[in-house]
Amino acid sequence: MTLSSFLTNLLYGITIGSAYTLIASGLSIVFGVMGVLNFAHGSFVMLGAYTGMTIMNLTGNFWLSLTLAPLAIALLGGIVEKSMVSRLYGKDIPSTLFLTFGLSMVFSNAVLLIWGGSHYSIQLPAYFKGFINLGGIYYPKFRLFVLIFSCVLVAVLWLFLSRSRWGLPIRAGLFDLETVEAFGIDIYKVFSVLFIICSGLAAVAGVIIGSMRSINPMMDLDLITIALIVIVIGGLGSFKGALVGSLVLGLAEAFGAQAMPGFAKFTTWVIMALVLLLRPKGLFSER
Amino acid sequence: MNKENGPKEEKRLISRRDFIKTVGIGGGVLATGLSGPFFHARAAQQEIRIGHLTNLSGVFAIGGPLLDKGLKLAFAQSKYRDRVKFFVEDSQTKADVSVQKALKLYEKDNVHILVGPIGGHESAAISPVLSAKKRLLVEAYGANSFLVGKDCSPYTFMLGHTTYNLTVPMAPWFLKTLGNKVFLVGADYTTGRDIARFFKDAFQKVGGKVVGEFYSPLGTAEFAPYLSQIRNAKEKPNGIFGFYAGPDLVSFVRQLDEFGLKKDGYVYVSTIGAFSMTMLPAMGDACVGYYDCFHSVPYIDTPQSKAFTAAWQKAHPNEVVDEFAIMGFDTGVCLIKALDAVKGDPTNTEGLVAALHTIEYESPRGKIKMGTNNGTIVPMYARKITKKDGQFRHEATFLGDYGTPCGTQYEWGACKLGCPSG
Repeated sequence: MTLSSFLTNLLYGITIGSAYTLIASGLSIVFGVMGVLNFAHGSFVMLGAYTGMTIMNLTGNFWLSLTLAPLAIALLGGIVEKSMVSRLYGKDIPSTLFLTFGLSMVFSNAVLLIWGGSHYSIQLPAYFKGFINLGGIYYPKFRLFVLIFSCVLVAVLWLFLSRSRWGLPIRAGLFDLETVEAFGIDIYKVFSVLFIICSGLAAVAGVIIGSMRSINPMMDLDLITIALIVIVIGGLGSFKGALVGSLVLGLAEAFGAQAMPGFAKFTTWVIMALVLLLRPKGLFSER
Repeated sequence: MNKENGPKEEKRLISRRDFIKTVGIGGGVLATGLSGPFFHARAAQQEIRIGHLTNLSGVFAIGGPLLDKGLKLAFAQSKYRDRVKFFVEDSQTKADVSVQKALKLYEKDNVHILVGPIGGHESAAISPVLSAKKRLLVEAYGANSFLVGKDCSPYTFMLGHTTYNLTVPMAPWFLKTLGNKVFLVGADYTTGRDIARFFKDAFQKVGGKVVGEFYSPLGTAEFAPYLSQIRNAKEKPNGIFGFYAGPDLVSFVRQLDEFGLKKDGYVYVSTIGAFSMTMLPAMGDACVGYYDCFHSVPYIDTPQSKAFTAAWQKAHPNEVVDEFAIMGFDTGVCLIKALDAVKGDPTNTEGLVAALHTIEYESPRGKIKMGTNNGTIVPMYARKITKKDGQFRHEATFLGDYGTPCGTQYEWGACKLGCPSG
């Protein structure tokens, strides 16, 4: 492998990893704080992609698509949380898993009914086409945007969790919900806000992924699988774990495909198996 | 899911006098030997029950509904439109479900004819079960090569294609049109590997050279590391050949564009109608100028195609003409012709089998002829994707009429019914 192809793969792996972070962090935080293993999280990514594609087709404006689709899915997430998920707080994990698994099937069929079984993708505006020369490495403009945008979003999320008024009870809730409530904090309000933010974040990832890959009624399953692998590697409930797990997965995909084309996916599973063997709770588990 | 279409039976009360009169007349008819024409006339009015086991979910969910619409459109235009009743079931693209639903359609719904699902693995599972019961199976789309080889059956008919007959004709075309150097790619599963292998053999036989190859896992969404292998090939290929479908195809084609290979003159050539009308919008302009191979061309300028396009647009004004719809319609045309041969008697399975075995008909695809191994011989085209006035179209080059050959020299073996030369 030449230095140029090594650097290209490194950049590519980090880019994909950063997009995965947007999906996995939401799933991980919702589980960590609320104890809800949200299997419908992949559906929110998928619905974000479909909604983004529809807005893009109607308006031709990518930025509107990237803004309105997450808002719409955040609203949907809020409705789902208030009307269904909230009824299962305090129940065992399988209860929420069954509920959200059922929801994911409902969303898949809703997508089939509304958009049909066809494949779509978000057609990017002309200014995102072409390359940028990064010291001899020609990298697509849109991928670079994904990298920067995801990093900014992840940084904002980190600041929100670690520095904001809302972030404190969320972090505290990871360890002891009862004490948080004892301080007079309405933890269920925190849960609602968290679920809405994570749904919106999933939709942002949906618009980004839908601009690079196919949008189809089965993409939710692929994406939830990726997110689950990430949080197994990184550790359940950990934002840092989601970040590191996503980068590990992105880099494994990039270098695995280069080194062993037929076994690219195998490398991902090997890493997951090794983590499970050596650190069963993941690299940065907080539960 | 079970959708039933067709006339409903009317309930009618008869008096005792009517009953005696009817029995008397019936007995008289039987006694005087007039029963032959009576039953014949009855057969001509009998309901034609067609089972359509198709893919309404799973990876082929895009094709199943279109096949069904095409099939129903053909019958809606025929003299059988008031007699036909369809029973539609979802195969879920699973072999075990397909077998279960196929038996349900024959044994519970009492269908006379079964139009089978898209997946080759599904047809391979259903065919032996139905053939053992002497039940008819007409495959509307794909085919498993073994079903036109050693596992062929007098009761199973393949109207579509095999990976072999959609690949081999492209080798001399590639050499003549693009050049003698190819980079082979494909999804790493049976179909992807078979297509690359068939092409490699045929291409090398006509003097072509393979400058590199890779097979990415099925479901690969990111091709950047693979694309660098094409760029780093020892010799620049004249084109890239191989099969990707669905989301893999969308990602591959979009990333060829995104990573600058398209701009640098790398042409991608696929097959099995990968660039079907319903797939093209997902790839956008990135697919324009690429090629694939298939046995039907939407909007092609022939009288049959024009008539079909007009009928389709009238029936489904918001939907483009797609290959799946054409194949569904083609299947309908074929069945109508077979029903004509048995004077519209759907219960005459042996008559239908005999008719289908030698059937020839004109459809929007062109002239179709059944091969001796019960696989059709079809016109094959290399199709270039174009875009004019915002509309995607296929610019077709006719390659010849191709069936699927069989014999001991092929891995799918010889069909006991006979083998066409290819």
